[in-house]
Amino acid sequence: MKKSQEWITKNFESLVSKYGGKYIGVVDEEVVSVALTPKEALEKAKRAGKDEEEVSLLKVPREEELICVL
Amino acid sequence: MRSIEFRYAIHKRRDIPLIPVSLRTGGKWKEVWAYIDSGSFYTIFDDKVAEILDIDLTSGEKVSAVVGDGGFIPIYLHTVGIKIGEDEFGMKIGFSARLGVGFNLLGMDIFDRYRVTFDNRAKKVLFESYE
Repeated sequence: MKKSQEWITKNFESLVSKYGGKYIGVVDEEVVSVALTPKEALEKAKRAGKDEEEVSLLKVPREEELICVL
Repeated sequence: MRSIEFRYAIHKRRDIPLIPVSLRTGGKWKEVWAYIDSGSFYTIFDDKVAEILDIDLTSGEKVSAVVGDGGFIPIYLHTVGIKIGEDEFGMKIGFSARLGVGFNLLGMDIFDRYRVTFDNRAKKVLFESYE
């Protein structure tokens, strides 16, 4: 399992608080990009020198969306 | 039988079966997270994910799906490469601009390929390949 996968799972609640409604790009244990679309998040990560295949893209739900889904 | 397990994400003591899948249409793999939703007939990603896969959204087969409020949303189906763990296969998945939930969704169509076990006590979901 990639480091980013474990990290996102463990830190999901704080990611929702900080980035709800946005797409984030995560590499290892770091949020490397934040944007409104996955394309923009990926491009920002690439501009930061990250390999796109290493970037894990998460659509972060808003708090209220979690209540709706669950 | 190959298997892979994923830990639940947790939010305010609620278990969230959210897992990473990789998608591609010929280029590089793009890893995108999705919620395992046995209530959804289709696997559906928001339309903006189609952009990173260089998919012309409206060129796909258009279908309509009923959502929670009783309304219909348009979905465009496209065949993409999908990777779960080390398993790679092609699958038709939907993209919609009106998904209206905070997650991309892995629907029942993924259950045709895997036995999926939600283990709430262990806080994990297990995928076992039928192939």
